[in-house]
Amino acid sequence: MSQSASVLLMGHPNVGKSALFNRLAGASIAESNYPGTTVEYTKSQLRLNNEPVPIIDVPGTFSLEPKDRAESVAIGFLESEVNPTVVCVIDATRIERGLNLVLEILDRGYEVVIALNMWDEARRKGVDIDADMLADRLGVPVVQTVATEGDGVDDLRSILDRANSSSLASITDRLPSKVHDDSIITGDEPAARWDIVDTIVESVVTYQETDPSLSDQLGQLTIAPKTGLPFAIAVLYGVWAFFSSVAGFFTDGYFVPLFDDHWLPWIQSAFPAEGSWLYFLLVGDPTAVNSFEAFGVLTSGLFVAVGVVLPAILALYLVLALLEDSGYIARLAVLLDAAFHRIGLHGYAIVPMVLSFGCNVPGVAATRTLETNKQRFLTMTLLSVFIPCGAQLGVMLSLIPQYAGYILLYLLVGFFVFGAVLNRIVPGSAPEVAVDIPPLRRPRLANVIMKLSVRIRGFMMSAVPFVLAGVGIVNLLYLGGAVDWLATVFQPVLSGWFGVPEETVPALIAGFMRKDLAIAQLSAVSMSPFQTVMSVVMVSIYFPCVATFAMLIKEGRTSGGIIRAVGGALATLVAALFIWGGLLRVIGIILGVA
Amino acid sequence: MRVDEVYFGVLGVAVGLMGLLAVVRGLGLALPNPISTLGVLTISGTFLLWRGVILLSASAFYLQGVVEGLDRRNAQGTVFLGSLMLWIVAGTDLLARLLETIPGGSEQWLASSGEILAVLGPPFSPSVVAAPFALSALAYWSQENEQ
Repeated sequence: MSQSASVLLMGHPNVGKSALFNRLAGASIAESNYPGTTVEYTKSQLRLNNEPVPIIDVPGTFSLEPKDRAESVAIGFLESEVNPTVVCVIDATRIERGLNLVLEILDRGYEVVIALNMWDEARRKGVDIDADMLADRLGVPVVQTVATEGDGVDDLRSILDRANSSSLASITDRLPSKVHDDSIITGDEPAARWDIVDTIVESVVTYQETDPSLSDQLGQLTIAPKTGLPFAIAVLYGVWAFFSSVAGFFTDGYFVPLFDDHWLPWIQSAFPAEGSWLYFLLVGDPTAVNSFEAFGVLTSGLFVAVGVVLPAILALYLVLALLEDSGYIARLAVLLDAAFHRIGLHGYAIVPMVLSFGCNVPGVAATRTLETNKQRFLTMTLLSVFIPCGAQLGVMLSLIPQYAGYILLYLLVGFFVFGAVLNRIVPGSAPEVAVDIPPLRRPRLANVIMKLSVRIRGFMMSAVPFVLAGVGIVNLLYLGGAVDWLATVFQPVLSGWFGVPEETVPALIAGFMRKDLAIAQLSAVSMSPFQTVMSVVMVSIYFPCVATFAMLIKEGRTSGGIIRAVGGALATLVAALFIWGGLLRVIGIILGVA
Repeated sequence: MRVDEVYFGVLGVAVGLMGLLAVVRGLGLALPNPISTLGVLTISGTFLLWRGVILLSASAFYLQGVVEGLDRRNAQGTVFLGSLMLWIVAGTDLLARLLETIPGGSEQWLASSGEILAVLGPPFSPSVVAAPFALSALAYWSQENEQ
């Protein structure tokens, strides 16, 4: 291996590539116990013989024939790097499938080192692999690793410079019984490749009879509908109860008294030039008695960003990280597979959906693991229209806790109803897929903390400036008279169709920047309980926030084109706003509350 | 019949009865809160219907495990899953009580230890009452680790 050549980590999804990357490079990227954690590449430096060598963690791929965007990224790297050393990461509990990919890579002439990862789980399951013999058969170095614990990582690092290439013909020659005696083995013959894999596995792996562990039994029970669905209800209840308790603890317990009783009165009196435009912009209403109503950058803006949204995001990301690392998300995917099929998706659409409950931006990015343009378009659109982010949920819980559950339910029903409609009218295919269900594992505290800190840092860097800027822009529009003008223009639609007052216009403007901010602003408008619910639903579905919109444009480029993706999403949200929003008002009228 | 089968059978029936009460009260039917007769148990609060459904499901899991025979690993798994459900509800219930009490407001910031300990006393929700008894299911986990 030449010192400047890069090291590529390749393998199937969810075999521990990201964990191995973190161990090798001393980096901090998210690891999760479900396929599709990595949808973009991550690059770092590896110290090898005191020389820095680029190391790249690419998305998981099942073969060198890409089936989705994430796989294309992986294969693109393999083809574009000059003389890379490929670390093929194989799940030691299911070695045969990983070997097939190894043979494909070797067949293209790349230098390879094999990491037999999850070695501990393989031993526990009675899978005994003769690593030395495997290395002999393949003609490349093989090392056993447990990436999550760091076992074998030093060995792997020490043999990287012994990476080797090996032709399929030479591998065949080394096998005990020659495969396809009279045929020339090439990478274009999948059946022949599988024959080689079978022969290798027969000669290097022994399987011992083991009783399924309690963890295996729990894994099975959580995907069987009879036991899995009641357990899913318990888990989702637990997520919601934990989220609302922790967010409420920080927000209602500490930030509300801190801001309302100390910060707000102090800044209202200490800030000079009351009545000036600068005072209005930064402090807002000098007579406001709570931080939601003041609506200045340094009052409501700071309070919403730090006092309301940050605790909510912290609680939600913590519980999501635990679910991801335990392997439960993949089980939810299996349970919901039938429901997702009705809208042209499959169970693994739950991954972008769950991520969207944290923030829509990574949720839209995670649609790259879906197979077709149609599936990606459907998921991106439905997520950005119907799934409220954690920040928005946090503000909803703080302001209207009694209605938050019902609003969420109404939006989720909308997700599936509009999904079913879009599935019928959007052309394209929605193929069935077979995916792995990872084992249930105890989440690693270090990984949960790392994931939490990365995501919270991301939130602070991206969301907080938008919240503050949103308050500032709305206040500037107020000062310029634009808000009053827009309120007059939209009054017939707002009152006539949705039954909400024209004072909701500033919130709709703020919603372009941040949905959480928009809902916070709604709290300052005098409305009936039903109007409050109605306006929160409107803000939720009327337009994605600017960060999500930017991600829609970025992902739309490779998911059927920007015009199709963004235009389709906008058409859907307009239809959803008027139909789904209008339907809610009809329900309110029928129930006598509108 | 094994001792653990009798134990989880009784626990399953008890949890089922409490779950049924929670569902009935969660549906808004006029059934008195048992706190009036059983001082330590209260069936009230938010999401009562959902909590009742979870208790009923846990009860069904216990009874299914007993019927299948707890010498079987699969049945032990079912009982363990039922216990997990109880622990989730009980854990979040206690967490909510604690976190609501700890902040003492802008004048105090932290409630006194007496106030914090007081919320951990009775009356308890059904899941909190049942959760300690469900800890016996951990025996199946430790048995496996010993093997």
